[in-house]
Amino acid sequence: MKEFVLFIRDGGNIDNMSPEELQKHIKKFGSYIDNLMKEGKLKSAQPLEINGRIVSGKNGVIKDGPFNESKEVIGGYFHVVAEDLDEAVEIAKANPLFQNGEGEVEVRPIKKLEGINY
Amino acid sequence: MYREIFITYKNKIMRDFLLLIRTEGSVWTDLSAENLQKHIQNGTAYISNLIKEGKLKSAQPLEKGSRIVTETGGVLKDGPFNESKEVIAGYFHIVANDIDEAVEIAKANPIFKDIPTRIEVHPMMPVGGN
Repeated sequence: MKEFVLFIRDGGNIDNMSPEELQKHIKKFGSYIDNLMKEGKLKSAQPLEINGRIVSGKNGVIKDGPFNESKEVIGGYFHVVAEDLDEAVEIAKANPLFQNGEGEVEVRPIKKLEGINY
Repeated sequence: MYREIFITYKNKIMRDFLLLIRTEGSVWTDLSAENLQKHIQNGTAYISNLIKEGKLKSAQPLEKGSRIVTETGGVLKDGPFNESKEVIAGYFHIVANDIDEAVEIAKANPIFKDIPTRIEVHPMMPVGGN
């Protein structure tokens, strides 16, 4: 089995949901996560808050400031195990975020490097 | 629901943050073999310090070769991701007292010496599985 990270870009959908929609959304995600756990495919699932800061560095100068909250913002991630990239993509496709409208999931293989992975 | 859990959580001392590393280009392909070796050594030292201080929950470097799943007009598509510009090179899941400390941890990342980098410091919502 290989490890992958699925980065979720949901365009800030959660922020525009009514309490009922949010409730439904949490339920759907809950059962998606439960399924992955039952199948032994989930290592971690973490939603992220929309506010944060950016540290940028170029030519030795490091600055920090707020992020611009664009649609590109990552709303959360899943650390999964799968046979290969194709299976990881299938897991991404089953994500209930796609039932809420626009969204995007970036599927990335984890690199194994001694002393780095933790 | 998020809010209530968040408020409860906020009263605890440490909070979880995700440091998302975005680089212009890739250390795997853009650095010389010698510089990549140094990069990995510096990264290992940075990581073992964070572990000693009890600040690191997870650290994962990412390979190139990603796919992206998008929905357009109700149809799910997947395809290769354009990695020519900025890519997510990896992430750190850390704990810190507050966002200022998380930013300081991000600033200490030795990757800034090697490649133009932006690190997004995201407070994590304390919901979902672990």
